[in-house]
Amino acid sequence: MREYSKRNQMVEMVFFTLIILISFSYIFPFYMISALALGANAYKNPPEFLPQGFRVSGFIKIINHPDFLRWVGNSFLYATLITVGALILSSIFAYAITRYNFPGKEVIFWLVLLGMMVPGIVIYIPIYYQLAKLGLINTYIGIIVPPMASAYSAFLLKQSFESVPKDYDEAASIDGAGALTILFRIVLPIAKPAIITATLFNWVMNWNNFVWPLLVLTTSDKYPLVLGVLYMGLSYTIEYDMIAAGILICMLPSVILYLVGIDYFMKGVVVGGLKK
Amino acid sequence: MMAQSLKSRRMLDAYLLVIPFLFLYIVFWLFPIIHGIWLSFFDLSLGRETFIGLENYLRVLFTDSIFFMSLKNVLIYAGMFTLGLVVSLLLALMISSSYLKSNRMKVLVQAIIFLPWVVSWASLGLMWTWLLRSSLVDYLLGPFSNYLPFRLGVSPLSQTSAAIWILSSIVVWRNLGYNTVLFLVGLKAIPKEIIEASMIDGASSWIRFRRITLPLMKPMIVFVTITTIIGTFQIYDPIRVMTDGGPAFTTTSPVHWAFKNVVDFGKIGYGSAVGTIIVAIVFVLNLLQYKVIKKYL
Repeated sequence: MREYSKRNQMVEMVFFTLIILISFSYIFPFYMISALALGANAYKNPPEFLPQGFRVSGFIKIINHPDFLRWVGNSFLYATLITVGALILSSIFAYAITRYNFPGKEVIFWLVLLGMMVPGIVIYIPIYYQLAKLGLINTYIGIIVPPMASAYSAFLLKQSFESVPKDYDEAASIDGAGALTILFRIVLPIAKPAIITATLFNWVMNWNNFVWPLLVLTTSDKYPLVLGVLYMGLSYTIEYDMIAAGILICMLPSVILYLVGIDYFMKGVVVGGLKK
Repeated sequence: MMAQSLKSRRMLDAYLLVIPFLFLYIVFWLFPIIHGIWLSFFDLSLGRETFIGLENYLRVLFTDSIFFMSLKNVLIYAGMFTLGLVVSLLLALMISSSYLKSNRMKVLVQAIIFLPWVVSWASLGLMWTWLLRSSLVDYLLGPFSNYLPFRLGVSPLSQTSAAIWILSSIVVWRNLGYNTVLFLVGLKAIPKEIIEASMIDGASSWIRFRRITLPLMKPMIVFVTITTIIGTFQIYDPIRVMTDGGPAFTTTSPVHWAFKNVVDFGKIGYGSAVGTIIVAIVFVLNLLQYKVIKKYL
């Protein structure tokens, strides 16, 4: 028995060490980019691992960039409007699919599933061509409206609405409530966890998306923050503290939402992971 | 009579509710798929709009060495991502094992390794680009310089021998947490009674893993592996940020090549042909996955 527990301790030590090493590979790059933002020079030999006297010059430089506030505003505007639109549209859709029987219902839902099988990124090419034809390149409508057609949200909400008991709706409809009243007053409150998950996922994904804006936008005044920082980071400047600060500011909203709603993110992985 | 009108009323309601999403979905999702196929039969460069039939496809399949390079790269990416899945599975087994006592640590590790997944590829890619460009690489790896697949002093991302391996490692690093969380969910679903029964029977942990955990996890492992391979054919973001397909197209992917033709060379028809080939491949892989699910469920 003593032999056995000794072996257990050995195994625990090995596992513990491996997990610490793996965690370190995640903490170190994020630590290092923070150190750069605070003025640690990692570009001379030997590199500095610690910021010398905490200079916030990187943050000051990026905030003083003439377009910075505009970019932050654009990012919030795009992510929020797309998320609100996607959620309203897909919740109404999911409600109809789970609560009504009508000819063509099967076909419609099958089409949505089919669309999820096609790589979204490739679809950007013809959409880009369409927008160009419609004169919607570099417009707010062009950047905000197409991503609202979120099949992922429709799928996620359909899954959750199915588990909301239908007796409630029936009781309400006998009382004379209309479809939208039932949806917003009864179904959505019960399906709250799924709504929160879909909201967080949509918002973070759209805040992070740079490929779509890269394609649709041509002038820097409409850039979201990630795209503005990306262009600065890719054009060979030597202002590493400014770029590092920009990278950190881009990460901040997503990371805050993640830390606040970590359980919802883990739930979203399960639903989305089996379909993403 | 009354019932009839009520019924048609309900049907009208249903259509009214379905239409807003469906309209947007058809305009910005389904129609573009068809439209993309349509565009691939045209020469659409320099403002021309000439129907050229299958010529784009013939060019892609018979004269485009970069397209084939991108397919070769996809195989490398897929191999690396599959290796990453093995690491994720091992990590999930470690986190969920009874050897580790601290629950708080288990939660903390999950939270840390999942973090990159919520961050934009634009920020992550820039972060790695700037770190790999710094003298940290020389400083930390200097002692091992004889064993490295790349020269020190230049970012490994700009060296043909190393770029794709470094880039795919970074993608594996980013997705490790996501896949680990997924596998942990699968491990949690294994009934405790079976595990306890085997412990009472005195089965060693290796036997338990071989005879219980692995067989029960198999459907999920197969599923996640196919999903990962399907995802490989769509890889674009990290490539665009970190290497833009370079050096010498050693890191390009089919999607990246399609985009490069459309955006950088203005060859929309040609890019659409590459895109359509990708859609076809992904579609076939999806059908395969569907068959696999049916087999297991």
